[in-house]
Amino acid sequence: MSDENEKSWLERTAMGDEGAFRALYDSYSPRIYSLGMYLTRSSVMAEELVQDIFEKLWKRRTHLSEVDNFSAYIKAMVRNTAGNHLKRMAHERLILAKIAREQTSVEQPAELAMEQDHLRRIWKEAVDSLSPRVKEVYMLSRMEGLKNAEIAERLGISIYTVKEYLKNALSVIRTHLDNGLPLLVAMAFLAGKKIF
Amino acid sequence: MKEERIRQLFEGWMNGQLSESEEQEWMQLLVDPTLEDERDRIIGHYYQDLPIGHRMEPEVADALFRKILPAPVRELPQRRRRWGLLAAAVMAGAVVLTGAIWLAGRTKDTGKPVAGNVYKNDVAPGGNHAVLTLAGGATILLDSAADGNLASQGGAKVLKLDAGSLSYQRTAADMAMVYNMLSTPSGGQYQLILSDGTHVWLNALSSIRFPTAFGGSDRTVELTGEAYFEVAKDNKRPFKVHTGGMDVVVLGTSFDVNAYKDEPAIRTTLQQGSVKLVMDGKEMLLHPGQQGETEGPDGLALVKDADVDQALAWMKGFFSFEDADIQMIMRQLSRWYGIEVRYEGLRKKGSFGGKMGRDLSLTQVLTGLSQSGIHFRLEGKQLTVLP
Repeated sequence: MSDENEKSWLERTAMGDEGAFRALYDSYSPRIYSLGMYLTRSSVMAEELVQDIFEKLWKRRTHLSEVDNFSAYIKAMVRNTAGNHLKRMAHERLILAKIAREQTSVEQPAELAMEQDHLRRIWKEAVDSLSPRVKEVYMLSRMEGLKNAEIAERLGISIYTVKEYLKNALSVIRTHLDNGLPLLVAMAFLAGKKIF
Repeated sequence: MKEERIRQLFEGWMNGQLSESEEQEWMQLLVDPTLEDERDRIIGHYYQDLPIGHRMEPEVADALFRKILPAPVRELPQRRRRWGLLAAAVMAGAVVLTGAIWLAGRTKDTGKPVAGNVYKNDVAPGGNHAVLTLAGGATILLDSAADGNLASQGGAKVLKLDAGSLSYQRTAADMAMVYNMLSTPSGGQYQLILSDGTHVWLNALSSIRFPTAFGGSDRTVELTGEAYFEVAKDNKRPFKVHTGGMDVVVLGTSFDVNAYKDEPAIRTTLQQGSVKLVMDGKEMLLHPGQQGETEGPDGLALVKDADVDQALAWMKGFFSFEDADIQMIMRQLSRWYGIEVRYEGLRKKGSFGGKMGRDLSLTQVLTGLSQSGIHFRLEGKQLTVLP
């Protein structure tokens, strides 16, 4: 794409032109999606990354006409947003790993049990707040490790629905995690050497 | 050094070469606040340098884009009252989509849809409309009745609570049983609280006949169309819903009965508790999350792949379809918008899925649906589905 085209898209997007915004989306979303897939290996999370970035862009659209170097602008956004997504993915996985460990190990040092209680409580609160169907999909995905297509088949729903449910579950869980984050980070440090 | 280590682990992850313990170590470093700058710097490099190795399917990219732009449902003013609150609570709690997103399920046709639609007018969504028929046959149009005491009927007071709900309150014991009937037109819905505290949500084109105060041995109501029940617990007096030759027998529970005459079967969806379906001497017990339906003139069968969320979507303010054919979708729209549906040419094959607010106007819903490759012509209350 030429820089001039892009400049005009940005100006039109700034004025609320959805067609121009779509042109920006078509031009930048493939690279962002691909990055999301490399980083998370999950189409659900990769789509979420694209969605998150373009929702932010649309919200800030009125400022886009002032952006000189849009490539650099969007790269900074991608770094920042993808970084946050990865952090949340890591939090979720760490908690799940701990829960898995807790289920298999018998004896644990007291301080470890306490810290696990805290993580578990945040996670469990989040999971319990999901609707039954969303929760079912999330558990099949995360606890039983089923692929999206396998979940769709098992529950007799479409793969699109599975993905929507997972997105919903992840955003709820991450909101809970973000709220409990300061403590959680400290906990993760504490746990680092002992568990892994 | 941690910076060096996180780089190595990123590299290993991208190449799929991390052992399980290395993967855990990587996760630990990803949440380390002192490494945030390094983490984002690495991501920036990958963004710039990696070839595009994964692509969204075009339909997925389209659907995602539609979700990013503010969907029409968010811009509508809140018109529903109690229904609105319920829907809002559901959205906040769990529900998946806020926008008008329809995904073409198994249809390949994804042509430019909106151009193929012809709207000569729009049709407003349904709302709180119902007629109450009293014991003597007198009727009260609830839309225009003032809130408050409407009548006294067989030992119970009839109160209109607000624009969309009616409540029966027992005032005297041991009176002879007297029946009232609440009916909704197409495009109507209403809530009813029976004298025992049972809460009924009546969907469009439906009616429920019930005693104003229940007798001593059981609680029986008659239903046509569709209603959702939250039955007040009373172990001594089972609650029965009688519809189309079938009885749903309940002790205290929440469930939906869909008994529209133009649907292929009477479908009962149990959310909580337990109910027993009784038909022609046969019985079937439902557990939470299960659906049972009538099969032929006198049979009962358990529905495979029961979908409770979908069955209850209407009373939470949504249309929700999963693997639905176009006729099924149109039957629901015709009841809610009071339209007559015709099909021109070949009927569209394929199945559709998606979710939309019931507070959208008809053309908004149709425009959403045409993303799946169906087109419409709307003239007055006559809707034609085009090939």
